Amino acid sequence: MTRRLRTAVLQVDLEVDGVTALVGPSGAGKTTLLRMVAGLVAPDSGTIECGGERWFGDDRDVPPERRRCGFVFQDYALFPHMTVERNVRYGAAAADVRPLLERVGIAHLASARPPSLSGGERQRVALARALAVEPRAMLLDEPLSALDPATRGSVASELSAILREAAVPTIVVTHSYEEAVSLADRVAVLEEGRVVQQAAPEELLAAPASAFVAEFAGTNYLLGTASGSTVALDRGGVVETAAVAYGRVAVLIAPWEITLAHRRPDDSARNALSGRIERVVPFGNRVRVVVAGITAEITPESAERLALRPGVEAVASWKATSTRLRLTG
Amino acid sequence: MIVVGTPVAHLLATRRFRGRPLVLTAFELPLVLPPAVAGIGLLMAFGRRGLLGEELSFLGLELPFTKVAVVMAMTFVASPLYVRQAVSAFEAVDGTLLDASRTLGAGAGRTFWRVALPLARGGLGAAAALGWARAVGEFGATIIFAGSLKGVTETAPIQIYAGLSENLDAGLATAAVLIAFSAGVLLAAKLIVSGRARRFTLL
Repeated sequence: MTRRLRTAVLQVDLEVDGVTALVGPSGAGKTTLLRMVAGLVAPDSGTIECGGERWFGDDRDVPPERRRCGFVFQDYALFPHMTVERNVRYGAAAADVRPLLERVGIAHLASARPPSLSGGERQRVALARALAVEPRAMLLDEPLSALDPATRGSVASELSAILREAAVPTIVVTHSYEEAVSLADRVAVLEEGRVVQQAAPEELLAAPASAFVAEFAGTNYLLGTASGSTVALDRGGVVETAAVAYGRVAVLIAPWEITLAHRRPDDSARNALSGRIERVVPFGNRVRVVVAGITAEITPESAERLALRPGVEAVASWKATSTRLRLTG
Repeated sequence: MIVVGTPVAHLLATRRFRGRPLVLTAFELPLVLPPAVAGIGLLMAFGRRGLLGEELSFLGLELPFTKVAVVMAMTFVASPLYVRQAVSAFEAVDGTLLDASRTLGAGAGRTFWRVALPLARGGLGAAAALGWARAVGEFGATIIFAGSLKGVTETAPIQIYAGLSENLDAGLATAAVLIAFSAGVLLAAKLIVSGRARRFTLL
């Protein structure tokens, strides 16, 4: 389907089965895409179908109230003048919403009003309200972004279980790779209105289609010009590669292939770049360290042993054979 | 005024259509029109020799200088005030809540009754109070279209005006009542609005 946006033309061909994470820079059209599926805005042209039923296209435009999309809005959009229970019952297919409230763990809040709830509680109410319509598709717009980082992890795994149980096509907009990994089977990357890559999360890391995807997944993506088995990087410096290429390329190095040390390695088969440590962030049960614009993923133990902290000088090195090239034309 | 004005205000607040400014202007026109012009206009439209005069007398209706005429004049002058305020009240309702209602299976009508109306209620109450106060104080359009028939179309302000030449004390008494009334309405409107604001800043 196609729709003109403020910044670009949204032109998307997307098929969703299971849970798909929709990622992309802001202004790429992610929210608009969800709103089009829900029927809140109409595409300029194209078709939208769900479960074999035509929702949009060929002179059809099924109104949102008859599409039965479970929509979790970014700020949750709970009705402030209704209790939690009445919010959930608003569009409920079943007469009794108690079991649903219990399933998402908000039964004790049934008579509370949304203004008095915490972010995590609101998120559950919004989720329960969307599930109550017995949706034929679920659409979630950054469902975890309003939560504080401490609760995000546990809420993410609960959310993932509930979405799997619902077993309907689901699109989750997110801007975190970790969230995409924990919630979705597949990731669709939207850039300037187009899907530039649609793949399993691991594949994004291994073969990112663009600098944005690489940065999003946290893999290293260095642009440069190749001549034979060396690449002169745009940022300065030369790296050795195992493959032979000529012309404009992107050098890809997975973050776990990179070793950190305090001194340059003697091994000439290794590429090395040195600089000050910019960031040290936990990533699952590993730690990601950014040095001279290169992201390395190491164990917390080695980070501790090397006393890696922001501002400390360090050398990032990797084998020529773990460098992959991608022609960028 | 409220029955017709509220849905109109909701449409004006939520829909963006071509000619919207024109419709808004048409609704606001009586607000800036001198009341005397409004009165003449009503007389020209609904008077015995007015545009619709023949049709009305065919139906056996005679509007000018009746109680109905008083109501029409008041509505004509006060409704733009109400609609104007009601549009702002509806515009203050978060559009995402209306979207949420639609995705939850509620059509436009149910969304209006169960989400837009309850959330705009405070603003609508204040709008109605202001409109009503304006209607009570209506003078110019009423005296031209409805005249000043004692006990029939003599509104409070007209009675004060008449009192100037006949019975000043009665006029003064009415004026005192009107001052108390206006102050009361204004205070009530402010209380409704600020009470509303307090409840929502707590959110």
